[in-house]
Amino acid sequence: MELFEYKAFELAQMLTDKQISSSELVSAFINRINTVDKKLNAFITKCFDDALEQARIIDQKRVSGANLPLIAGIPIGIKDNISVKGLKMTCGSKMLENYVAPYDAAVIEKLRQSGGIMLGKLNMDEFAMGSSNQTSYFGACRDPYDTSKVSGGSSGGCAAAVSAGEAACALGSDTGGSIRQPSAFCGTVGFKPTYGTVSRYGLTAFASSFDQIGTVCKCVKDTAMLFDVISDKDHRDSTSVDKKYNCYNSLCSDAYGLKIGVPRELFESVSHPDIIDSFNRSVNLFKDTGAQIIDISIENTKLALAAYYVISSAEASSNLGRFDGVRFGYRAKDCKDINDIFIRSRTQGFGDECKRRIMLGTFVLSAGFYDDYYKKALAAAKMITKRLDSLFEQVDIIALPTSPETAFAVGDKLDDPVKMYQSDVFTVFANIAGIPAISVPCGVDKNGLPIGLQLMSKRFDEQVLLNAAYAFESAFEGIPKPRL
Amino acid sequence: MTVDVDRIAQLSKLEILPEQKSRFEKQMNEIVEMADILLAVDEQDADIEQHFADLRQDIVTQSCMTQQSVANNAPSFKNGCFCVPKTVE
Repeated sequence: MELFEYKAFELAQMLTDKQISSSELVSAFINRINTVDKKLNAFITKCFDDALEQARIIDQKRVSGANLPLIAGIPIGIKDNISVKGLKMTCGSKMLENYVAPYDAAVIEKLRQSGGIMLGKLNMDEFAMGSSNQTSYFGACRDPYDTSKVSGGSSGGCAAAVSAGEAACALGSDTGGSIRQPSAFCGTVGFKPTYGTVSRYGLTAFASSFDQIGTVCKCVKDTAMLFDVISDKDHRDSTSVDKKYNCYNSLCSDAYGLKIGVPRELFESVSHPDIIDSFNRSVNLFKDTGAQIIDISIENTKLALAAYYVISSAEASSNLGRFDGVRFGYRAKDCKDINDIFIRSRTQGFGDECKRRIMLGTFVLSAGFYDDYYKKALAAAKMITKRLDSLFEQVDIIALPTSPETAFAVGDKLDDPVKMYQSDVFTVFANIAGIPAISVPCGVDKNGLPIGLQLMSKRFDEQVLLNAAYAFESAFEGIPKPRL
Repeated sequence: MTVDVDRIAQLSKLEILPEQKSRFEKQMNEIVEMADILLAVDEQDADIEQHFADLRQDIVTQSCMTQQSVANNAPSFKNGCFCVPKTVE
């Protein structure tokens, strides 16, 4: 077995036992990236020299007997909307093609303190707006299971890189499913924690009331390990909560007595029979391990997607107002006045999907439409949140498919935004309610493409959620690795 | 509901070229049609209260950035200022 095929927690143990050095490990991942990334396009920026230097420092510390955190020396990929000081942060956009981050995001500070080693910045849909990675200015990132298919999005680079062994694990962001859906497509474990548990300081804002940094890993144990490192209170993010987790050491694979709610009313959105089959088999597996399955109804489910797109676009139209061609980012040439700079820089710097979302946001916030769309979207979101809160008084976990489809062909749905938005039909609930959610691989379709099982829990119940996911993963036979 | 793409683009500080207009118009109208399901929601039932984040103390702290590191990302920066074409005649 090659080093890049191991799980991060296994690599951590090998490093601790001095079976391998971090320099060897980082070199193995660099070789893997050099071999396969031209087929995938997962990396936008690579920082191999710095990674090797950091690995050398970690190795020295280990040799000198230092007691290092588990993550020390592990190669990690970072979504390209998270600031890493001195590295380009493009957000997958021409607008920030040459922007170099002048500071570290809070999660990067945490990684550095723990000795995590960054390999580079990972591809994404432009400003995290998309479900396929095709809106990236730097080209689509492809699925390691079938490179004619999309990796999903917006954290497609994270999912593809971890799936293909280009990074042991990755940090992404999830605003409406952007970690979980690509994880389902690429056969990785994608985790969006409770809103507020991980600081967004240094994450480029898209829709601030939904944005959350999370993890993409090979397994649940790696997820717990990485989440423990990045979760903490941070005064620079006013939504950050004072809570520190220790999920890795408390991980337990016993699902006996766990109450799992299944909202079957949502399954009419799934036309893919293999997804329903895999989901049903997953639920039966939970039942076999002693969990109790309870039929539930979320109610008003059809409002969720509309509410999500109205609110997120409204917030995006405001957040992306900062890209004006004055202080940073792209500026159009030969502008005659300041207004010309604003309009031409934004028109030339943003791609079509960003323009659609900015315009939709501007529309729903404009006079005459605010009450009809924005205010009603807030009301719908509130209703859904209340309903989910009351359901979590009856059940510990809600289980759903992650996505209504498996990875689709590169080029599909680009001219049909409404069809693209349907990809998020199962994932937006967790963002609307601010609850944690995880996608774990639960099967493959008839073409061998991965299928994800999504589990959600109540706010701050990360331990219960990760335990449930770990119980499933331990009982499930797993899916084949991608062949590249 | 029909979206007036020209007006919304103007408010958004974007320019939609004539050859792009019908495509954007069609797509925007389809998205708004998807959102029309919200029109039936009665917001009186939902109690949309406002949330306020805790404010941190307004104190000066050491910045992790230098002026130069910020200026390096500016399209035009001179004498400590971001430069734009003359705005006042």
